[in-house]
Amino acid sequence: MSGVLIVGAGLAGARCAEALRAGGYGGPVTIVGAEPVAPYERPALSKELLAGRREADDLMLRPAGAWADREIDLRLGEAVERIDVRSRTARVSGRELAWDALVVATGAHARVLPGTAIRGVHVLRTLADALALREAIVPGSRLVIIGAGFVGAEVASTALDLGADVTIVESEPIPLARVAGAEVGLFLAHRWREYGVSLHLGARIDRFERGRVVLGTGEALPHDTLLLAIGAEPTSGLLGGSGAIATDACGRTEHPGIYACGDVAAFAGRRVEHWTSASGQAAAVASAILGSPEPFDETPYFWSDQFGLRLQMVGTATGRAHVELDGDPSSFHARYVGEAGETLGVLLANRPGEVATARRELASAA
Amino acid sequence: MTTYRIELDRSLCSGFGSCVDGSPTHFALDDSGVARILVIETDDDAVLEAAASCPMGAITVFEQAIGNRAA
Repeated sequence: MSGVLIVGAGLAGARCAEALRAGGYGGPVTIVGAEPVAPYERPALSKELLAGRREADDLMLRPAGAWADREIDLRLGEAVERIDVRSRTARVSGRELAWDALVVATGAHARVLPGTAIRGVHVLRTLADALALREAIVPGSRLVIIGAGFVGAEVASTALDLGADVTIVESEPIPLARVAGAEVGLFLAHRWREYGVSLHLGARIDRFERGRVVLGTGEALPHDTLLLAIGAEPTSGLLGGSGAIATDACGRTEHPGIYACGDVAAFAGRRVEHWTSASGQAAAVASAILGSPEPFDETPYFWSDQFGLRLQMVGTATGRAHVELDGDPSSFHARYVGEAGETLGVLLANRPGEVATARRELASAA
Repeated sequence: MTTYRIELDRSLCSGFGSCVDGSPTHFALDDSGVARILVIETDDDAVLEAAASCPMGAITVFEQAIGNRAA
């Protein structure tokens, strides 16, 4: 038995390995991770870690000995250089390794912009990224964030708390309108400005210069630190393609014996970059490898902590006909309603008591 | 058989409720939607999955006899 080779030591890879063991898999299980660090909780990077409330050691997904205890061979700081689909082998840091099943859980990498390969430009994807950004955000320093998505907003919120001066530049006229609706986007924009963010919406960037961003209007935004927070692209080069790897609801790709899960996968036709999806998809992949496939079809869920709000979204705003919004920018409930009047998703701000109910309602409707 | 001790940090809980789905004899949500522990000690392995499924990492499970963190 050659075993299972898991490429990627993020949540999806780690959970897949654990689920294989929990399901009684007795063969070798190897995880190869590019980062030189054991599996950790990535969502905390833009939140507690950046704020200094938790340190790297606090983010570890499992205690240090847990992987060896379960006979999971964790190879960190190593790379899978190539795979051979026919012979079912891989070259890992120069050595050949045979596999019966290959799980691509390589995640995603931060998107960058042309002209930004200059000093002092940050992205936020890995633990190392987060530690470097934390080092750079000091009281009184000027931080410019490109992109008003959830990561950008969370960093902005934390940086303000740390005493930095924060500017966000966004090309869309309303932040997060696509994922959360214009009504919610306006609420959030209001809240960000109220907390002290200098928010440039509908902005076009003309060029990046050392120490400043020049907008299309000619306005220059000086900074000590520049963060690109414009999303992440699937790290899918291993299979020779680009873009997300298409799988069925058990993570099976078009290649027999090769699976994908987490941020790299378009799982059952949908790429969802959420913690609970990565975890659930990984379990589905393990079930397929174990020969008793259990498809993953859970309702998407994510959360974001920013500007004194805990935002929690269950389901999706995609395909909505309208949004029912109740509350004010400090505590609200948004319901995304489809053409037939059905609830597609719910976004809650500081309403923890409503989450489990929304989740069950959407699960039973699916 | 291993006996487990469950710890829950209610300040981290987001009310997601996966612990209750997977392990209803050990966890419940209170009126404000925050999880609470029903049983502190158990020998049911389901609590390991409950801890692993929590998106907030609010649940820690220790092996009672030796005190090592198990999940």
